[in-house]
Amino acid sequence: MPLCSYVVIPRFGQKEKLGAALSSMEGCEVLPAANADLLLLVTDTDSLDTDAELRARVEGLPDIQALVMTFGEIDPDTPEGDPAGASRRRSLPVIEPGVAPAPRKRNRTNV
Amino acid sequence: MVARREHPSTLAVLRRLGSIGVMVAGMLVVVVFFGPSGHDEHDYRAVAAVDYQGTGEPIAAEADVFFDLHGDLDVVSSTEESPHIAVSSLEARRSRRAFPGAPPFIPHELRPELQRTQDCAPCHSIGGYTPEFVTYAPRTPHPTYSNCLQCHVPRTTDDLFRSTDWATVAWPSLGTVAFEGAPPIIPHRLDLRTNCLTCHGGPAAAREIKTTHPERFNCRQCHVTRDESEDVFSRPMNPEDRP
Amino acid sequence: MNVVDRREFLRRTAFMSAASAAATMVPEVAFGAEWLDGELQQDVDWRKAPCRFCGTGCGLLIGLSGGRAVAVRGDPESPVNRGLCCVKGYHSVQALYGRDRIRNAMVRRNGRLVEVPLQEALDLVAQRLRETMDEHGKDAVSIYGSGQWTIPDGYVASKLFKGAIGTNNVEANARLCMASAVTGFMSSFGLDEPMGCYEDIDHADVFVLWGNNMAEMHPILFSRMLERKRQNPRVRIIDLATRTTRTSYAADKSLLFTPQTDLALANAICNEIVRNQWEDHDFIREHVAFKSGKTGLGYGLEEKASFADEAHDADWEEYLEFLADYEPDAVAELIGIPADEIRYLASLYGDPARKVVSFWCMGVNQHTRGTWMNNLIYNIHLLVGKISEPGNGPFSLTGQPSACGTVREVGTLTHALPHGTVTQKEAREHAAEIWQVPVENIPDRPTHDTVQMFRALDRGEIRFMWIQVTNPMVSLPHLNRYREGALKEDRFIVVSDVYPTPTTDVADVVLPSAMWIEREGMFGNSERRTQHWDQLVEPPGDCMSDTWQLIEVARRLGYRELFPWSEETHIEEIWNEYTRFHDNPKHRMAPYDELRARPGVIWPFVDGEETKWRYNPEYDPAARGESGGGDEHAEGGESRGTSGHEAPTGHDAGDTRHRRVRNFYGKPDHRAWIWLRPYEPPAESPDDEYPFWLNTGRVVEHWHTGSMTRRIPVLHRAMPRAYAEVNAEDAREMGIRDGQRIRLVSRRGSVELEARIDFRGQPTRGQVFVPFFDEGILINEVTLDAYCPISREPDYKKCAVRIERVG
Repeated sequence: MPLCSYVVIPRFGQKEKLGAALSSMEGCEVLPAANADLLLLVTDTDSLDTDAELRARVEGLPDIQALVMTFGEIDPDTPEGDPAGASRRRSLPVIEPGVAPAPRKRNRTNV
Repeated sequence: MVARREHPSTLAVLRRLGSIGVMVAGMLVVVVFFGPSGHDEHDYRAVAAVDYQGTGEPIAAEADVFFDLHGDLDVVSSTEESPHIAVSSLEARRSRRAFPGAPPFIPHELRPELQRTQDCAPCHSIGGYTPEFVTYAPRTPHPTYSNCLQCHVPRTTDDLFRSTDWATVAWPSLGTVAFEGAPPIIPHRLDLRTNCLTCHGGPAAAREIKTTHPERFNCRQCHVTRDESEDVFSRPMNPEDRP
Repeated sequence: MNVVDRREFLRRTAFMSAASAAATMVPEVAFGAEWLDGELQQDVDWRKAPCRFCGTGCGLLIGLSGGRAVAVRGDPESPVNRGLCCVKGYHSVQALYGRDRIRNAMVRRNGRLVEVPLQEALDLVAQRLRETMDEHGKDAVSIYGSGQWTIPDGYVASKLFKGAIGTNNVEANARLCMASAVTGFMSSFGLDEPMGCYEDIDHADVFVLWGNNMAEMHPILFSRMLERKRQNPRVRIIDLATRTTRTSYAADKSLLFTPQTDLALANAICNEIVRNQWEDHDFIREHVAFKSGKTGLGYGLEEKASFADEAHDADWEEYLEFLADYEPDAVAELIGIPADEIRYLASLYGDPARKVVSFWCMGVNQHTRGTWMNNLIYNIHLLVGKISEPGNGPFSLTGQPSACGTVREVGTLTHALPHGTVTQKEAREHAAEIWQVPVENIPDRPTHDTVQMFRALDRGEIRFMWIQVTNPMVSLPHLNRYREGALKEDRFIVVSDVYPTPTTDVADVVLPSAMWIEREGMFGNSERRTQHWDQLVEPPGDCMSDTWQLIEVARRLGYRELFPWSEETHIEEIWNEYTRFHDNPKHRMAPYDELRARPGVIWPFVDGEETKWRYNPEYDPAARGESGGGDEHAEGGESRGTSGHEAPTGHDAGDTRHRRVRNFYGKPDHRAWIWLRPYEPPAESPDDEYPFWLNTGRVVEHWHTGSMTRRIPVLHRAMPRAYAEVNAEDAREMGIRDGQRIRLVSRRGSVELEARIDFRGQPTRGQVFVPFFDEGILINEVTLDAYCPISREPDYKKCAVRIERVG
């Protein structure tokens, strides 16, 4: 049962919206950063196929600027456990070329 | 990204093991101990009234905050970065300290007579632009301590006598807030650092920690230190139920 | 971390991985998730310990995380430093982590040190000890320890060698730094260690520094003085020195004197005081006795030099006659300080409205007349009665963290026992009772002081020496002789240390020692403050505390019943046994629990109170309890002068000064002794062949022989190499440029190093200064092992060299 984690970099200003969108997807758990424009995402699905499907939907979200995979494990107890195969299908995490992460907001304006 | 920086051979091993998580966990260890990362220094104990002066009277640790009330209005106008002058960065500041809270070494050349006279005050008490180093001199938050070279030593070589296995905790996070929009807490102790504007305002301030509002001189009205003990106080309705 | 099932564990691991990756993008990222942030954040636990380095004894808080020491803060609760440290203290914990740390025992085979299991090394040490004793007698074995020994280290060493084995061949490197202070105290007061405490700094009006570069060597105390001055602008700091240093610049006045003439200067000050009748005549009449001793003492250079002083009674008239030779005008030229300045100094001491503290350290102690020099500074304070009250008093500073606590209080010197001396029958009986050994075991005569002990090793009278936590192959004067001696055939040297040093280079066995916070211990600092620390981190490899190494060897020698303690509680048990020696109001030590809870406790600790000022009935229970003290005068403490700054009018009626009540209970007559000590020239002065004075000392970055501080990156990078300070005019005449390589040559040897002009310190004409922290520049090959015959402490500050340009 694949369990993966990602760092999600939203497009500028879209952190909350993106977080809400991701949280509503089944199998996703979202943890936004308290002081930066990024989110952590953990996906927990019951099969490799479901996992692939989910990831495609996530990648399709318009508010994502970059998606960085940081952890991937297939539970070896499942019949679909296929370490070699799974690893091959997991691409190494990349940031969308040519686009830097959103600049960190430092000085807060008065609220 | 990060994973890509790992050695390919490791990847081959991991393919056999079937878990990127192992690799990332390894990286995790490295990052946690050696790299800059988002770790909070947990000791934010509010500075007790420290009796440096030996009078036996408690000293308001926040007294220094008001030292510059009348002298620092210029700070407001000089918080913009000047394009031609090297501006300090947080990384540079941190690279001068062996661990969070350590006294920084002196990153500039020290004229020999200064080792004797310890006449650091002309530049470091009021700050200001020094053409010699093409930058603004940082102001000391503790100008009453005049045996400067007791804690701050020059750097005359980059060599080591013997290698070291020294490791320390990571620097505290910036911008730790109770909720979005709240004033960030003070992630460091206030010993010898009660005059906030010397580091957080003025042209020599590191850009990442420069304040947007130096004109508000009562910093600790909004920004507080954090005690490392419990998060909140609570107690049961019936005192005898207290654990 | 809570126990979680595997799935939950994986989930957390996944989050952790993502969080760490995020942290590399945004270093300060936090997620506001307790469990996650808690994992990312490293909790730092802060625990107290006294600093590892100098005799100031600052209180530190060591930051611990993940089983390592990772940071340091000053302990705001410590009355010594109140939260401030110096650069060495701040970075002290880095000294644990040099890569070449000794982690395994080593034995020399075929000329090379090879690793062996620790138990095997300990077996070998015990075996060789036994064999040497059997073949050559008990006095053929010896132990050379240190003012960096913890109190339990020293106690076990003393008990083993003096009580069990039965030899007085127990010495420590404090002989090389504090012996003159000890003999000064014993001859002037009958009891060791200062009568005041650091709190004097907060009350004094004048600080006179006698030949110590306090801004670099006791910087925390110096900062306290500067703070005192900042709040009280009338405070004066006077630097009496032989060269210009950072301290000179921070002081109000810097007066340079010719080496050795401090003896004349102190007498000249006394001359001026009595000439103006500034002395406290009541005080002298009630609390002072006058003595004279031998003169023409020599310098201990003879192979088996031995000396014993004698005390002859003298009186006020004889003292005046003695002082007549030291009129400021008469001695100004010898000293090199104008007579007016000498008179000014005297007026500061003599002014009844000003409280004066004198500080000194190695300039006075490492002196061929070091005992005399200590006496002479006490003389000044005793003449004017400025002693044993807040802000008034002579203060002998210590160099090492526990020269007081261990070497002096436990008595790890050839003549000493934890209480009393080996020559005193009652002291031996007392020790025998506490140690549970037959009193015949404890030999009744001292054998060798440090220099003599190494000479005996050279000659072959000593065949076995165990060296712990010190580096004599860098720090002994006239080094080449003693190194060659240690390397001779049939000498077995055991070295317990933490890093490879020139001393481990001569070792037959190297034992890996646990360092400082890697084991529990106590130190005692200059102001009689004993400080305890728990073990805070695990020692690496096979490292074992010096205390336990001694216990292991003692048990192998068959003395288990004398050292029966368990590893978990042995420090507490040793403390309880040791403090029995001091169980009287003049020296009582705090109980173990008290020490653990507090940032140190000053002894005597009587009825729950520290005795901050000794010999003063107002503060010292021992002074009240003894007869002869007399507390019929209600105000026992301070004296107040007549209006403002007027000089006192002597002992007229109408003198409104309050009488100072004291009880110097160290002496049988309950008085402090003013000794008539003259000026005598140094052992070796510059001449035609060797026209320069050589002075040696330290710098703030490095401590002693640098084996610890040079492995701390920021300290090494600030001061990587030793150098020779050369006067600018001398350099110009000799054609020497700043940074040029020169050779310093003496009758003993030579070293090559670079010259620095107008660098950290500025020597006077005809003088050079070299710090001794650099094992690559062994300046002690050049120094002379002349010493004060009373204290046996060598004079590292004065010998003659010539300068040669290299290349």
